[in-house]
Amino acid sequence: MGKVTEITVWTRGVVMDKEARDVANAFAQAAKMEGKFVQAFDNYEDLPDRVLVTTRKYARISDEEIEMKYLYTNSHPDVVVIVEPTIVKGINVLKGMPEGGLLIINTNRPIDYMLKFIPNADVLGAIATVDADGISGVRTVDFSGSEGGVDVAGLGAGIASPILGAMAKVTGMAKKENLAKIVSDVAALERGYKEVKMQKFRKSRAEYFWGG
Amino acid sequence: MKTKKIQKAKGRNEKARNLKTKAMNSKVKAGGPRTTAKGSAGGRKESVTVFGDVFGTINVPKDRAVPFGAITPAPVKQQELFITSNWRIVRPVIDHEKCTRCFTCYIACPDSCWSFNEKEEQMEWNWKFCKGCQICINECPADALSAAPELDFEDGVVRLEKPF
Amino acid sequence: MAQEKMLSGCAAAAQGAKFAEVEVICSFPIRPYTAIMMELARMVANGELDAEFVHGEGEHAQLSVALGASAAGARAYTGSSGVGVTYAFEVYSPAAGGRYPLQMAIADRTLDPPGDFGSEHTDAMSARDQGWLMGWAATPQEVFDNTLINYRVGEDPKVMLPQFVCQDGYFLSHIPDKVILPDMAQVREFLPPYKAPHPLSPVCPVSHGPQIRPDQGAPMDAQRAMTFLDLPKVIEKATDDFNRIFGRHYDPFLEKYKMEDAEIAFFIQGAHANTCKSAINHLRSQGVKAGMVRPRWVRPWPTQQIAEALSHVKTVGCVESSTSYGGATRGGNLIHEVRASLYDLDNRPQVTSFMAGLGGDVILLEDFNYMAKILTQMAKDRKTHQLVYWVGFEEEA
Repeated sequence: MGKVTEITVWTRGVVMDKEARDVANAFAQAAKMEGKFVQAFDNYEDLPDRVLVTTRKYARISDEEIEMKYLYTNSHPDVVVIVEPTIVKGINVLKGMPEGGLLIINTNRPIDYMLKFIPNADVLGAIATVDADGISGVRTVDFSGSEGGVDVAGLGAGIASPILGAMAKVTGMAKKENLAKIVSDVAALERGYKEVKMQKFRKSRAEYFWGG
Repeated sequence: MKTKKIQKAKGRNEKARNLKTKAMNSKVKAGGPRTTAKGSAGGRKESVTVFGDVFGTINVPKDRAVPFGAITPAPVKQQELFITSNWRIVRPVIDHEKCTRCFTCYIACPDSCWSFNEKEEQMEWNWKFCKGCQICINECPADALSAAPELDFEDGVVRLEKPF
Repeated sequence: MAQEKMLSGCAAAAQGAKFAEVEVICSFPIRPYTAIMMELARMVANGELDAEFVHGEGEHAQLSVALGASAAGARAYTGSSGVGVTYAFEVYSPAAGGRYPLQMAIADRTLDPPGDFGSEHTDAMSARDQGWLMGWAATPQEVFDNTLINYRVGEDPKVMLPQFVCQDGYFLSHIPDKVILPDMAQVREFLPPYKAPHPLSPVCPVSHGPQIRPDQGAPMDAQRAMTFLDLPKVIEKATDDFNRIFGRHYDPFLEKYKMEDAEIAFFIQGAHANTCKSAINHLRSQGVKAGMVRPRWVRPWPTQQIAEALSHVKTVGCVESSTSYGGATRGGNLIHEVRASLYDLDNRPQVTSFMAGLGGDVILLEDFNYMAKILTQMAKDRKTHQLVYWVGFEEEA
């Protein structure tokens, strides 16, 4: 069984649900274009119809065919993406993260301030912030795509594109060029890619193909 | 996700298990439990005795224990199991000078998060359950309440392990 | 043009209904099947699908509307999950006995109490005596394909029976996987339009379901039973046509995996069969000769095919994701019928059952290893030590 890289996207129900789903879906699709085996789905136990409740979306990427397809959570997320920054106060987002993982937060606050709320940050390889709300302040509310439906509004509207750009830069698991073919807002993608701020904690794991 | 606990057999269980093994290994007697119809030439499988512990035992591990019939206690005032403070993005900030103690916020809050602190004679906000719906901010007739981003405040960190 | 898409089981079922050009859809929301109706509502609103979309006031109403539509000569589609399936129970027998070939998509959900969204097969399994066709899919592609195959088989003039197209809730209904959507021309070649023999009609009035005497009841039942004798041939022909037209390779009744030289066999249905295949690959690399049989149809039960497939193995483990409390094995449902299918064989295998995946639980690869260990021990001892094993709820021996 090959190594499955787990990406967990934390968001809030209804008002930012679609953006997080776009982040997980678009990133998985871009990785698929590079020949990887992927899965992208919503967490089933979070009831997403409640406004502002924390919900999760998952993407899983592997070099080989994924054997355990039917799981409820990513128990050891290598990459955690936070679409709404207050979540770090309410949830232990680094739970289960192995050493050298990555944390990406959508916020305009400085990294040091965010670290005040994450005491177990020493497990991280790097933390990054991107001001997706500043880049494209629009948020979409679209229920197509929820509950296993098909997304008709198109991927990447709202704050999803800048976050995807930041992920492409920080993780290196999907190329920006491939993401640009999938998302609708390529300008925001480029800005997210350029404007992400990163702080490294330790040398990230050698077996991953992101910089270090 | 489950964890399997390997529990050592002790006392009563050990005895039961030995009895079970004995029953399983004993030869099936004619006229007792049903036997195979044809004679037992080599290659014939022995039939299972219908007496004996064929149903096994069921043991729910402690970390997966559930209440009988799924009946759970209900809170009278406040419970610690389902904290919802991590739902909010903004929190109401009260200016006690402007507040007229009209109790409109107390009435309006859908989660009963405003109460009156008798000792200090001012309205007290329940940080554990406020979801940041801003109804109280909208309803306050004295403009004593305003919204502030939750992330501005370093208190009120709950860091739950799971959303619920 | 055939397209490849990543679709969840719900989306695939909705696409299946769209390609089958259903005419009346009756909906009522219940998680997890509800996305099927979301998708269909969107298609009807956009004009992609020309169908009557009726919102029932409950699952009983859903089935009643679908039954009425089917009786009037329309291709009807509905669905439910969990307690919705049991709420509609009264209508199942009239639908089957009246010979209305409507289709019901079931995305499994554990029955209450309390409220558990996880997948468990008991909801649909409790309806297997009602005279419907029933089968479980293992991938979203199969959900799509089963939608078409079931309409073709159910609407066959020799058959005329309603169908349950079942899939695991969440595991199949909400996790997307590759689905190849065909050409409309291919679907039209495979699936002829629905012709009700005696529809409700003001021009040519008929009575559906009048009162009868008890001595007329047995011939009614016999007539329905006779249909199930003809059914396997219809299924074989339909599956062969399907494979030919769409380029798939479905066995009509069972999916067999590495069964040629297997000594122990898993009998498992639904999405967890995919995990079982991976587990078998691992077991084989450790020298355990394991195989898997996955039934694609629960009704009609493929008695002879199962007897042939399992005749040469030493032990069979039925992986049950459904409960039959107080049943003969104090466990699940499949083992009773597997044992009945194998009873008259010379050198019949030992058969036991494993309760796994209940309540939406995940079945891990380690669980399959545990089951294989027990099955191997049974083969060595040539004895069935226990009729049922509750995986995860036992003391490790």
